[in-house]
Amino acid sequence: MIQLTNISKQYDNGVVAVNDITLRIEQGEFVYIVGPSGSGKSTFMKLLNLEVKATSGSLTVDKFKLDRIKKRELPMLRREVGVVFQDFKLLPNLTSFENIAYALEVTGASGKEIKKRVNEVLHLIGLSHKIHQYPDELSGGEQQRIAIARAIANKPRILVADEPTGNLDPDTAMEIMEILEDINRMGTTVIMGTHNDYLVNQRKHRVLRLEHGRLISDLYKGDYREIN
Amino acid sequence: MTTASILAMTVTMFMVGSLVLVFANVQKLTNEVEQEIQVRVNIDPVASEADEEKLGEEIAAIEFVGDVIYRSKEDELAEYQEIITENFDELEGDSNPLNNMYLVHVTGPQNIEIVVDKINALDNVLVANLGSIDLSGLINAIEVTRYVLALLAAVFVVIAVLLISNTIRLTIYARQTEIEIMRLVGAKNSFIRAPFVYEGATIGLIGSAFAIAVLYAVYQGLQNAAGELFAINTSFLIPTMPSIIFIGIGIGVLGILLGVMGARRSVRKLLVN
Repeated sequence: MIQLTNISKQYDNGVVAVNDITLRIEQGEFVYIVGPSGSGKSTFMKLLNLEVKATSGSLTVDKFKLDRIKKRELPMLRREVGVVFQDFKLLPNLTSFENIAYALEVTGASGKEIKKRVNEVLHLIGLSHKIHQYPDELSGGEQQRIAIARAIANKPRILVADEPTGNLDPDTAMEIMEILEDINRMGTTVIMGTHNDYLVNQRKHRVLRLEHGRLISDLYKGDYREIN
Repeated sequence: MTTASILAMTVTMFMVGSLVLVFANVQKLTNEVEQEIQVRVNIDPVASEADEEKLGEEIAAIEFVGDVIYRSKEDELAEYQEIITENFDELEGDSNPLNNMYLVHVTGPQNIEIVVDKINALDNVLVANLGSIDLSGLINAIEVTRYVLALLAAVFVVIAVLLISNTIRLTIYARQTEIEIMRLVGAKNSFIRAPFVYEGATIGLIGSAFAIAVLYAVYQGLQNAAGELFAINTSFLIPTMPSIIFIGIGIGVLGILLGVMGARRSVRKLLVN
Protein backbone atom coordinates (compact mmCIF):
# COMPACT_ATOMS: atom_id res chain seq x y z
CA MET A 1 0.00 0.00 0.00
CA ILE A 2 1.22 3.44 -0.92
CA GLN A 3 -0.26 6.55 0.60
CA LEU A 4 0.71 10.08 -0.38
CA THR A 5 -0.76 12.97 1.60
CA ASN A 6 -0.08 16.53 0.44
CA ILE A 7 3.23 15.50 -0.97
CA SER A 8 5.32 18.26 -2.56
CA LYS A 9 8.86 18.35 -3.83
CA GLN A 10 10.75 21.56 -4.50
CA TYR A 11 14.28 21.30 -5.80
CA ASP A 12 17.08 23.58 -4.62
CA ASN A 13 16.83 25.64 -7.79
CA GLY A 14 13.28 26.57 -6.90
CA VAL A 15 11.48 24.28 -9.33
CA VAL A 16 8.36 22.69 -7.83
CA ALA A 17 8.34 19.28 -9.43
CA VAL A 18 5.53 17.74 -7.42
CA ASN A 19 2.77 19.94 -6.08
CA ASP A 20 0.49 18.84 -3.27
CA ILE A 21 -0.42 15.34 -4.35
CA THR A 22 -2.70 13.12 -2.34
CA LEU A 23 -3.49 9.60 -3.51
CA ARG A 24 -3.56 5.99 -2.47
CA ILE A 25 -2.43 2.88 -4.30
CA GLU A 26 -3.42 -0.51 -2.95
CA GLN A 27 -1.27 -3.60 -3.01
CA GLY A 28 -1.56 -5.46 -6.29
CA GLU A 29 -2.69 -2.54 -8.46
CA PHE A 30 -1.27 -1.71 -11.87
CA VAL A 31 -1.00 2.05 -12.26
CA TYR A 32 0.15 4.17 -15.19
CA ILE A 33 1.65 7.58 -14.51
CA VAL A 34 1.23 9.75 -17.59
CA GLY A 35 1.82 13.39 -18.48
CA PRO A 36 3.96 15.61 -20.65
CA SER A 37 7.69 16.07 -20.09
CA GLY A 38 8.34 18.10 -17.00
CA SER A 39 5.04 17.13 -15.45
CA GLY A 40 6.75 15.56 -12.50
CA LYS A 41 6.45 11.87 -13.44
CA SER A 42 10.07 11.01 -12.81
CA THR A 43 10.23 12.94 -9.57
CA PHE A 44 7.01 11.27 -8.41
CA MET A 45 8.50 7.85 -8.96
CA LYS A 46 11.81 8.78 -7.33
CA LEU A 47 9.89 9.72 -4.20
CA LEU A 48 8.72 6.16 -3.81
CA ASN A 49 12.16 4.63 -3.24
CA LEU A 50 13.57 7.78 -1.65
CA GLU A 51 15.92 8.51 -4.47
CA VAL A 52 14.51 11.97 -3.86
CA LYS A 53 13.13 13.25 -0.56
CA ALA A 54 9.83 15.10 -0.41
CA THR A 55 9.99 18.66 0.91
CA SER A 56 6.59 18.43 2.57
CA GLY A 57 3.76 16.05 3.17
CA SER A 58 3.75 12.48 4.34
CA LEU A 59 4.46 9.39 2.31
CA THR A 60 3.92 5.87 3.52
CA VAL A 61 5.11 2.83 1.58
CA ASP A 62 3.91 -0.31 3.33
CA LYS A 63 5.53 -0.23 6.78
CA PHE A 64 7.96 2.56 5.91
CA LYS A 65 7.14 6.17 6.77
CA LEU A 66 9.44 7.86 4.33
CA ASP A 67 9.61 11.25 6.00
CA ARG A 68 10.86 9.64 9.19
CA ILE A 69 12.86 6.71 7.90
CA LYS A 70 16.31 6.03 9.41
CA LYS A 71 19.41 5.93 7.22
CA ARG A 72 20.13 2.31 7.93
CA GLU A 73 16.59 1.32 6.97
CA LEU A 74 17.00 2.80 3.52
CA PRO A 75 18.52 -0.30 1.95
CA MET A 76 15.54 -2.26 3.32
CA LEU A 77 13.13 0.09 1.59
CA ARG A 78 15.04 -0.26 -1.64
CA ARG A 79 14.63 -4.02 -1.49
CA GLU A 80 10.88 -3.70 -1.01
CA VAL A 81 10.54 -1.28 -3.90
CA GLY A 82 12.15 -2.64 -7.04
CA VAL A 83 13.03 -0.08 -9.72
CA VAL A 84 13.38 -0.36 -13.47
CA PHE A 85 14.82 2.52 -15.49
CA GLN A 86 14.59 3.72 -19.05
CA ASP A 87 18.35 3.24 -19.49
CA PHE A 88 18.38 -0.19 -17.82
CA LYS A 89 21.24 0.70 -15.44
CA LEU A 90 22.94 -2.67 -15.50
CA LEU A 91 26.46 -2.96 -14.14
CA PRO A 92 28.53 -3.16 -17.34
CA ASN A 93 31.28 -5.43 -16.07
CA LEU A 94 28.92 -8.12 -14.73
CA THR A 95 27.17 -10.90 -16.64
CA SER A 96 23.38 -11.28 -16.68
CA PHE A 97 23.61 -13.78 -13.87
CA GLU A 98 25.91 -11.56 -11.82
CA ASN A 99 23.78 -8.46 -12.34
CA ILE A 100 20.70 -10.19 -11.00
CA ALA A 101 22.70 -11.92 -8.29
CA TYR A 102 24.01 -8.55 -7.10
CA ALA A 103 20.57 -7.57 -5.85
CA LEU A 104 20.52 -10.78 -3.81
CA GLU A 105 24.10 -10.51 -2.58
CA VAL A 106 23.41 -7.18 -0.93
CA THR A 107 20.90 -8.92 1.32
CA GLY A 108 23.46 -11.45 2.44
CA ALA A 109 21.81 -14.44 0.78
CA SER A 110 23.84 -17.64 0.50
CA GLY A 111 25.39 -18.77 -2.77
CA LYS A 112 22.93 -21.60 -3.09
CA GLU A 113 19.90 -19.38 -2.51
CA ILE A 114 21.21 -16.85 -4.97
CA LYS A 115 21.77 -19.42 -7.70
CA LYS A 116 18.29 -20.82 -7.23
CA ARG A 117 16.51 -17.49 -7.32
CA VAL A 118 18.52 -16.07 -10.24
CA ASN A 119 17.72 -19.10 -12.37
CA GLU A 120 14.08 -18.76 -11.33
CA VAL A 121 13.72 -15.18 -12.53
CA LEU A 122 15.81 -15.78 -15.64
CA HIS A 123 13.35 -18.47 -16.55
CA LEU A 124 10.47 -16.12 -15.83
CA ILE A 125 11.74 -13.54 -18.29
CA GLY A 126 12.82 -16.15 -20.81
CA LEU A 127 16.54 -15.42 -20.87
CA SER A 128 18.02 -18.54 -19.30
CA HIS A 129 20.18 -18.99 -22.38
CA LYS A 130 21.84 -15.61 -21.98
CA ILE A 131 22.99 -16.24 -18.47
CA HIS A 132 26.68 -15.49 -19.05
CA GLN A 133 26.41 -12.60 -21.47
CA TYR A 134 27.52 -9.10 -20.65
CA PRO A 135 25.14 -6.14 -21.10
CA ASP A 136 26.94 -4.95 -24.22
CA GLU A 137 26.25 -8.34 -25.78
CA LEU A 138 22.51 -8.04 -25.24
CA SER A 139 19.83 -6.18 -27.19
CA GLY A 140 17.94 -3.33 -25.56
CA GLY A 141 14.93 -5.51 -24.88
CA GLU A 142 17.07 -8.24 -23.35
CA GLN A 143 18.87 -5.74 -21.14
CA GLN A 144 15.59 -4.38 -19.90
CA ARG A 145 14.38 -7.87 -19.13
CA ILE A 146 17.54 -8.52 -17.11
CA ALA A 147 16.92 -5.24 -15.33
CA ILE A 148 13.38 -6.30 -14.53
CA ALA A 149 14.65 -9.67 -13.31
CA ARG A 150 17.05 -7.85 -11.01
CA ALA A 151 14.28 -5.60 -9.77
CA ILE A 152 12.08 -8.53 -8.77
CA ALA A 153 14.84 -10.82 -7.50
CA ASN A 154 14.16 -9.90 -3.90
CA LYS A 155 10.40 -10.41 -4.40
CA PRO A 156 9.54 -6.78 -3.75
CA ARG A 157 5.95 -5.87 -3.06
CA ILE A 158 6.18 -2.86 -5.34
CA LEU A 159 7.79 -2.42 -8.75
CA VAL A 160 8.38 1.09 -10.05
CA ALA A 161 9.16 1.38 -13.75
CA ASP A 162 10.23 4.76 -15.11
CA GLU A 163 9.59 4.67 -18.87
CA PRO A 164 10.71 1.08 -19.18
CA THR A 165 9.84 0.93 -22.86
CA GLY A 166 11.26 4.32 -23.77
CA ASN A 167 14.33 2.98 -25.57
CA LEU A 168 12.64 0.01 -27.20
CA ASP A 169 10.87 -0.69 -30.47
CA PRO A 170 7.08 -1.32 -30.39
CA ASP A 171 7.27 -5.11 -30.48
CA THR A 172 9.87 -5.33 -27.75
CA ALA A 173 7.93 -2.75 -25.78
CA MET A 174 4.91 -5.01 -25.84
CA GLU A 175 7.01 -7.96 -24.64
CA ILE A 176 8.18 -5.91 -21.70
CA MET A 177 4.63 -4.85 -21.00
CA GLU A 178 3.56 -8.47 -20.88
CA ILE A 179 6.28 -9.33 -18.41
CA LEU A 180 5.23 -6.45 -16.20
CA GLU A 181 1.64 -7.60 -16.30
CA ASP A 182 2.74 -11.14 -15.44
CA ILE A 183 4.55 -9.80 -12.43
CA ASN A 184 1.49 -7.79 -11.50
CA ARG A 185 -0.71 -10.83 -11.72
CA MET A 186 1.54 -12.54 -9.20
CA GLY A 187 0.63 -9.88 -6.66
CA THR A 188 3.25 -7.16 -7.10
CA THR A 189 2.06 -3.56 -7.30
CA VAL A 190 3.32 -2.10 -10.58
CA ILE A 191 3.67 1.63 -11.11
CA MET A 192 4.72 2.58 -14.60
CA GLY A 193 5.55 6.02 -15.88
CA THR A 194 5.15 6.22 -19.63
CA HIS A 195 4.76 8.29 -22.79
CA ASN A 196 3.53 5.31 -24.70
CA ASP A 197 -0.09 6.12 -25.48
CA TYR A 198 -0.46 2.94 -27.54
CA LEU A 199 0.32 0.71 -24.58
CA VAL A 200 -1.87 2.69 -22.22
CA ASN A 201 -4.80 2.41 -24.55
CA GLN A 202 -4.20 -1.25 -25.44
CA ARG A 203 -3.62 -2.53 -21.94
CA LYS A 204 -6.05 -0.64 -19.79
CA HIS A 205 -5.25 0.01 -16.17
CA ARG A 206 -5.62 2.83 -13.67
CA VAL A 207 -4.20 6.06 -15.10
CA LEU A 208 -2.82 8.87 -12.97
CA ARG A 209 -2.25 12.00 -15.01
CA LEU A 210 0.22 14.65 -13.88
CA GLU A 211 0.64 18.18 -15.19
CA HIS A 212 2.99 20.77 -13.75
CA GLY A 213 3.42 18.55 -10.74
CA ARG A 214 -0.27 18.31 -9.95
CA LEU A 215 -2.53 15.30 -10.15
CA ILE A 216 -5.19 16.34 -12.59
CA SER A 217 -6.84 13.02 -13.27
CA ASP A 218 -7.25 9.59 -11.72
CA LEU A 219 -9.08 7.19 -14.00
CA TYR A 220 -9.75 3.52 -13.55
CA LYS A 221 -9.01 1.80 -16.89
CA GLY A 222 -8.67 5.19 -18.55
CA ASP A 223 -7.54 6.12 -22.01
CA TYR A 224 -4.21 7.94 -22.46
CA ARG A 225 -5.87 11.28 -23.27
CA GLU A 226 -8.86 10.98 -21.01
CA ILE A 227 -9.25 13.35 -18.13
CA ASN A 228 -11.96 12.98 -15.52
CA MET B 1 42.59 4.83 -14.32
CA THR B 2 43.81 2.13 -11.98
CA THR B 3 47.11 2.29 -13.85
CA ALA B 4 47.33 5.94 -12.91
CA SER B 5 46.73 5.08 -9.28
CA ILE B 6 49.37 2.36 -9.26
CA LEU B 7 51.82 4.70 -10.96
CA ALA B 8 51.19 7.44 -8.41
CA MET B 9 51.60 4.93 -5.61
CA THR B 10 54.85 3.57 -7.11
CA VAL B 11 56.35 7.02 -7.52
CA THR B 12 55.53 8.21 -4.04
CA MET B 13 56.56 4.95 -2.38
CA PHE B 14 59.83 5.10 -4.30
CA MET B 15 60.39 8.62 -2.99
CA VAL B 16 59.67 7.50 0.56
CA GLY B 17 61.90 4.43 0.19
CA SER B 18 64.83 6.31 -1.24
CA LEU B 19 64.49 8.98 1.42
CA VAL B 20 64.66 6.27 4.08
CA LEU B 21 67.78 4.83 2.45
CA VAL B 22 69.46 8.23 2.23
CA PHE B 23 68.53 8.99 5.81
CA ALA B 24 69.84 5.63 7.03
CA ASN B 25 73.11 6.05 5.19
CA VAL B 26 73.61 9.55 6.57
CA GLN B 27 72.93 8.16 10.04
CA LYS B 28 75.50 5.44 9.53
CA LEU B 29 78.14 7.86 8.27
CA THR B 30 77.61 10.38 11.01
CA ASN B 31 77.83 7.64 13.59
CA GLU B 32 81.11 6.50 12.17
CA VAL B 33 82.45 10.03 12.09
CA GLU B 34 81.38 10.51 15.66
CA GLN B 35 83.25 7.41 16.73
CA GLU B 36 86.39 8.78 15.25
CA ILE B 37 86.19 11.87 17.36
CA GLN B 38 88.69 11.69 20.05
CA VAL B 39 90.01 14.07 22.58
CA ARG B 40 93.75 13.83 22.89
CA VAL B 41 94.87 14.40 26.45
CA ASN B 42 98.55 15.18 26.86
CA ILE B 43 99.63 14.08 30.34
CA ASP B 44 101.98 16.26 32.36
CA PRO B 45 105.45 14.65 32.03
CA VAL B 46 106.13 15.03 35.75
CA ALA B 47 103.12 12.88 36.67
CA SER B 48 103.86 9.56 38.36
CA GLU B 49 102.37 6.26 37.30
CA ALA B 50 99.91 6.46 40.16
CA ASP B 51 98.95 10.00 39.12
CA GLU B 52 98.44 8.81 35.54
CA GLU B 53 96.19 5.99 36.70
CA LYS B 54 94.17 8.35 38.88
CA LEU B 55 93.82 10.73 35.95
CA GLY B 56 92.57 7.92 33.76
CA GLU B 57 89.86 7.07 36.26
CA GLU B 58 88.87 10.71 36.68
CA ILE B 59 88.53 11.11 32.94
CA ALA B 60 86.48 7.96 32.62
CA ALA B 61 84.12 9.27 35.29
CA ILE B 62 83.25 12.37 33.27
CA GLU B 63 79.83 12.36 31.67
CA PHE B 64 79.71 11.56 27.92
CA VAL B 65 83.13 9.89 28.02
CA GLY B 66 83.30 6.49 26.32
CA ASP B 67 86.53 4.60 25.95
CA VAL B 68 89.70 5.91 27.52
CA ILE B 69 92.80 4.47 25.89
CA TYR B 70 96.30 4.92 27.23
CA ARG B 71 99.04 5.63 24.70
CA SER B 72 102.57 5.84 25.99
CA LYS B 73 105.03 8.20 24.33
CA GLU B 74 106.96 5.24 22.99
CA ASP B 75 103.84 3.89 21.30
CA GLU B 76 103.09 7.33 19.92
CA LEU B 77 106.55 7.59 18.50
CA ALA B 78 106.16 4.21 16.90
CA GLU B 79 102.91 5.36 15.32
CA TYR B 80 104.59 8.37 13.82
CA GLN B 81 107.44 6.22 12.59
CA GLU B 82 105.02 4.24 10.57
CA ILE B 83 103.73 7.34 8.89
CA ILE B 84 106.96 9.22 8.45
CA THR B 85 109.86 7.02 7.42
CA GLU B 86 112.59 9.45 8.36
CA ASN B 87 114.96 8.41 10.98
CA PHE B 88 113.36 9.02 14.35
CA ASP B 89 115.99 7.03 16.21
CA GLU B 90 117.46 10.14 17.73
CA LEU B 91 114.16 10.90 19.40
CA GLU B 92 113.88 7.67 21.26
CA GLY B 93 114.31 7.35 24.95
CA ASP B 94 114.78 10.58 26.88
CA SER B 95 114.82 12.65 23.71
CA ASN B 96 111.24 11.69 22.93
CA PRO B 97 109.40 15.01 22.83
CA LEU B 98 106.03 13.39 22.91
CA ASN B 99 103.88 12.93 25.98
CA ASN B 100 102.05 9.98 27.37
CA MET B 101 98.47 10.32 26.25
CA TYR B 102 95.00 9.30 26.91
CA LEU B 103 92.82 8.96 23.82
CA VAL B 104 89.29 9.69 24.95
CA HIS B 105 86.18 8.84 22.98
CA VAL B 106 83.29 11.25 23.47
CA THR B 107 79.70 10.24 22.84
CA GLY B 108 77.84 12.93 20.96
CA PRO B 109 79.70 15.62 19.06
CA GLN B 110 77.82 18.35 20.83
CA ASN B 111 79.40 17.34 24.15
CA ILE B 112 83.01 17.62 23.11
CA GLU B 113 83.60 21.14 24.29
CA ILE B 114 82.24 20.37 27.73
CA VAL B 115 84.39 17.29 28.08
CA VAL B 116 87.54 19.06 26.91
CA ASP B 117 86.95 21.84 29.42
CA LYS B 118 86.43 19.38 32.25
CA ILE B 119 89.52 17.40 31.39
CA ASN B 120 91.65 20.54 31.21
CA ALA B 121 90.54 21.35 34.71
CA LEU B 122 91.95 18.09 36.08
CA ASP B 123 95.39 17.74 37.70
CA ASN B 124 98.31 16.38 35.70
CA VAL B 125 96.81 17.38 32.41
CA LEU B 126 99.16 19.30 30.17
CA VAL B 127 96.59 20.07 27.55
CA ALA B 128 93.55 18.38 26.04
CA ASN B 129 92.49 19.13 22.55
CA LEU B 130 90.92 17.68 19.48
CA GLY B 131 94.06 17.26 17.56
CA SER B 132 94.66 19.08 14.35
CA ILE B 133 91.33 18.49 12.72
CA ASP B 134 88.66 21.03 13.48
CA LEU B 135 85.55 18.94 13.39
CA SER B 136 83.09 21.48 14.68
CA GLY B 137 82.31 22.68 11.18
CA LEU B 138 81.65 19.15 9.96
CA ILE B 139 79.53 18.35 13.00
CA ASN B 140 77.39 21.39 12.38
CA ALA B 141 76.95 20.42 8.77
CA ILE B 142 75.80 16.94 9.79
CA GLU B 143 73.22 18.29 12.21
CA VAL B 144 71.84 20.64 9.60
CA THR B 145 71.66 17.84 7.04
CA ARG B 146 69.70 15.70 9.46
CA TYR B 147 67.12 18.41 10.04
CA VAL B 148 66.81 19.14 6.34
CA LEU B 149 66.26 15.47 5.57
CA ALA B 150 63.67 15.12 8.30
CA LEU B 151 61.84 18.13 6.90
CA LEU B 152 62.01 16.72 3.38
CA ALA B 153 60.65 13.43 4.64
CA ALA B 154 57.69 15.17 6.27
CA VAL B 155 56.97 17.11 3.09
CA PHE B 156 57.24 13.97 0.97
CA VAL B 157 54.80 12.08 3.14
CA VAL B 158 52.26 14.89 2.90
CA ILE B 159 52.67 15.03 -0.87
CA ALA B 160 52.35 11.26 -1.03
CA VAL B 161 49.10 11.22 0.91
CA LEU B 162 47.59 13.98 -1.22
CA LEU B 163 48.76 12.51 -4.51
CA ILE B 164 47.51 9.03 -3.79
CA SER B 165 44.29 10.27 -2.28
CA ASN B 166 43.46 12.39 -5.29
CA THR B 167 44.41 9.79 -7.85
CA ILE B 168 42.26 7.17 -6.19
CA ARG B 169 39.45 9.68 -5.88
CA LEU B 170 39.52 10.29 -9.63
CA THR B 171 39.35 6.56 -10.21
CA ILE B 172 36.33 6.19 -8.00
CA TYR B 173 34.50 9.28 -9.24
CA ALA B 174 34.67 7.79 -12.68
CA ARG B 175 32.61 4.91 -11.35
CA GLN B 176 29.98 7.09 -9.80
CA THR B 177 27.24 5.56 -11.92
CA GLU B 178 28.17 2.13 -10.66
CA ILE B 179 27.89 3.24 -7.08
CA GLU B 180 24.55 4.91 -7.76
CA ILE B 181 23.17 1.71 -9.21
CA MET B 182 24.37 -0.26 -6.23
CA ARG B 183 22.54 2.09 -3.91
CA LEU B 184 19.33 1.96 -5.91
CA VAL B 185 19.39 -1.80 -5.79
CA GLY B 186 19.46 -1.62 -2.00
CA ALA B 187 23.10 -2.18 -1.10
CA LYS B 188 24.29 -0.98 2.29
CA ASN B 189 27.14 1.53 2.33
CA SER B 190 29.56 -0.97 3.80
CA PHE B 191 28.72 -3.43 1.03
CA ILE B 192 29.44 -0.84 -1.63
CA ARG B 193 32.61 0.36 0.05
CA ALA B 194 34.22 -3.06 0.47
CA PRO B 195 35.38 -3.79 -3.10
CA PHE B 196 36.79 -0.29 -3.47
CA VAL B 197 38.73 -0.61 -0.25
CA TYR B 198 40.18 -3.92 -1.42
CA GLU B 199 41.13 -2.21 -4.65
CA GLY B 200 42.86 0.54 -2.70
CA ALA B 201 44.81 -1.99 -0.68
CA THR B 202 45.83 -3.85 -3.83
CA ILE B 203 46.93 -0.65 -5.53
CA GLY B 204 49.02 0.10 -2.46
CA LEU B 205 50.57 -3.34 -2.48
CA ILE B 206 51.37 -3.43 -6.18
CA GLY B 207 52.68 0.15 -6.20
CA SER B 208 54.94 -0.60 -3.26
CA ALA B 209 56.16 -3.83 -4.87
CA PHE B 210 57.17 -1.93 -8.02
CA ALA B 211 58.74 0.81 -5.93
CA ILE B 212 60.86 -1.62 -3.95
CA ALA B 213 61.95 -3.42 -7.12
CA VAL B 214 63.07 -0.14 -8.70
CA LEU B 215 64.71 0.98 -5.48
CA TYR B 216 66.65 -2.27 -5.27
CA ALA B 217 67.76 -1.96 -8.87
CA VAL B 218 68.86 1.64 -8.44
CA TYR B 219 70.66 1.19 -5.12
CA GLN B 220 72.41 -2.01 -6.14
CA GLY B 221 73.11 -0.61 -9.60
CA LEU B 222 74.70 2.53 -8.20
CA GLN B 223 76.99 0.48 -6.02
CA ASN B 224 77.97 -1.82 -8.87
CA ALA B 225 78.53 1.10 -11.24
CA ALA B 226 80.59 2.98 -8.68
CA GLY B 227 82.74 -0.08 -8.15
CA GLU B 228 83.15 -1.16 -11.76
CA LEU B 229 83.27 2.17 -13.54
CA PHE B 230 84.91 4.43 -11.00
CA ALA B 231 86.60 1.93 -8.71
CA ILE B 232 84.97 3.49 -5.70
CA ASN B 233 84.70 1.25 -2.70
CA THR B 234 81.11 1.53 -1.60
CA SER B 235 81.38 -0.53 1.56
CA PHE B 236 80.80 2.62 3.56
CA LEU B 237 77.17 2.48 2.43
CA ILE B 238 74.52 0.44 4.19
CA PRO B 239 74.49 -2.96 2.48
CA THR B 240 71.51 -3.57 0.18
CA MET B 241 70.45 -6.76 1.94
CA PRO B 242 68.77 -7.05 4.38
CA SER B 243 67.92 -3.35 4.67
CA ILE B 244 65.97 -3.35 1.43
CA ILE B 245 63.74 -6.10 2.80
CA PHE B 246 62.86 -4.10 5.90
CA ILE B 247 62.26 -0.99 3.84
CA GLY B 248 60.17 -3.09 1.47
CA ILE B 249 57.95 -4.33 4.27
CA GLY B 250 57.70 -0.81 5.64
CA ILE B 251 56.55 0.82 2.45
CA GLY B 252 54.35 -2.18 1.69
CA VAL B 253 52.43 -1.54 4.89
CA LEU B 254 52.44 2.21 4.23
CA GLY B 255 51.21 1.68 0.68
CA ILE B 256 48.32 -0.52 1.77
CA LEU B 257 47.41 1.95 4.49
CA LEU B 258 47.41 4.91 2.11
CA GLY B 259 45.51 2.94 -0.52
CA VAL B 260 42.81 1.93 1.94
CA MET B 261 42.54 5.41 3.44
CA GLY B 262 42.37 7.05 0.03
CA ALA B 263 39.65 4.65 -1.13
CA ARG B 264 37.55 5.07 2.00
CA ARG B 265 37.70 8.87 1.81
CA SER B 266 36.67 8.93 -1.82
CA VAL B 267 33.81 6.47 -1.50
CA ARG B 268 32.49 8.26 1.55
CA LYS B 269 32.16 11.45 -0.47
CA LEU B 270 30.00 9.62 -2.98
CA LEU B 271 27.89 7.88 -0.38
CA VAL B 272 26.80 11.07 1.33
CA ASN B 273 23.03 11.04 1.16
